[in-house]
Amino acid sequence: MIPRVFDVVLAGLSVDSETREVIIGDLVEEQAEFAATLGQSFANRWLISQVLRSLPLLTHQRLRAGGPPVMMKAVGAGLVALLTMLVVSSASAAVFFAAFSEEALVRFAIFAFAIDLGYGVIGGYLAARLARVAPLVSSLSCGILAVVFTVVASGGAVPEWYALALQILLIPAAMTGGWLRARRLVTQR
Amino acid sequence: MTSRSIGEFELAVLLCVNSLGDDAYGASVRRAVSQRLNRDCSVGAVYTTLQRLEDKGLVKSWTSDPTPVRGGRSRRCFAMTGAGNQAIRGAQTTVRRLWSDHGLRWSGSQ
Repeated sequence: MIPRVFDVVLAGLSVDSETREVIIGDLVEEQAEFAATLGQSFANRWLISQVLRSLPLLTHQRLRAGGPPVMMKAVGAGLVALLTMLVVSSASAAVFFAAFSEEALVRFAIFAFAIDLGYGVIGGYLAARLARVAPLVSSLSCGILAVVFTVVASGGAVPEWYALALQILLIPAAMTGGWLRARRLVTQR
Repeated sequence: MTSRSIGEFELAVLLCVNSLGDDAYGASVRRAVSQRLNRDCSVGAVYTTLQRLEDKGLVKSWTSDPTPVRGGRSRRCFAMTGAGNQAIRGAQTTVRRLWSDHGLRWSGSQ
């Protein structure tokens, strides 16, 4: 399972499929050797440690190799995705306000919150799809921009818990969208 | 500083690629570097360094056929180039010169 997760994360950083294959092949080979000599538990711990220590280096390398164009594409795609989601969520909010009384909307705020989180996931996926490079970085940028927007624009319009929970969960929601896109890239290989 | 100048970790990786010969691939290089530096190096550190060395023209790489022990995945094999050999000699000359200026006797075994 760990190699599969690592494969998706590397795909999310736009590491090409051949490089992913050789890196994961190396890890699988060494893990099997450690499992045979030092036990499965040690081998699993070693693998997790290798993945956690390798990720920052590989992320840095990918972003450095891509240079400013990758970051600009990621942030641009994040912005376009955010604007799209704002239009869609505003439209759906208008429909809700027209269809239900204010009392009913307050009572079902958790339902509205779930819908907003769903938009966060879709926004992250859309950002990853639009950027075509580094899906996880694009969805992260979308999540950060969404949080900034929530902090700036939500004053008083929604309950305090609603705004705070959105600010905490929007980035994980957007990253989930990026993760889904990266997983799709792995299965399409 | 030229693009061919190499750091300590790059030198360690380059020396290991050279000493492993035909058996130089990601995992074997990682093991050899970890042994030489006496610390567990990450596969990410080794691959990013190998990529940098390849960009500098100091190593070349190719992909082997898939093997069952790796779950049907390929290996990326590495070999040192002539420029890599020159870089090692250059690094050795620099270290020798530094030690000679320090007034200590150079020992090849250290």
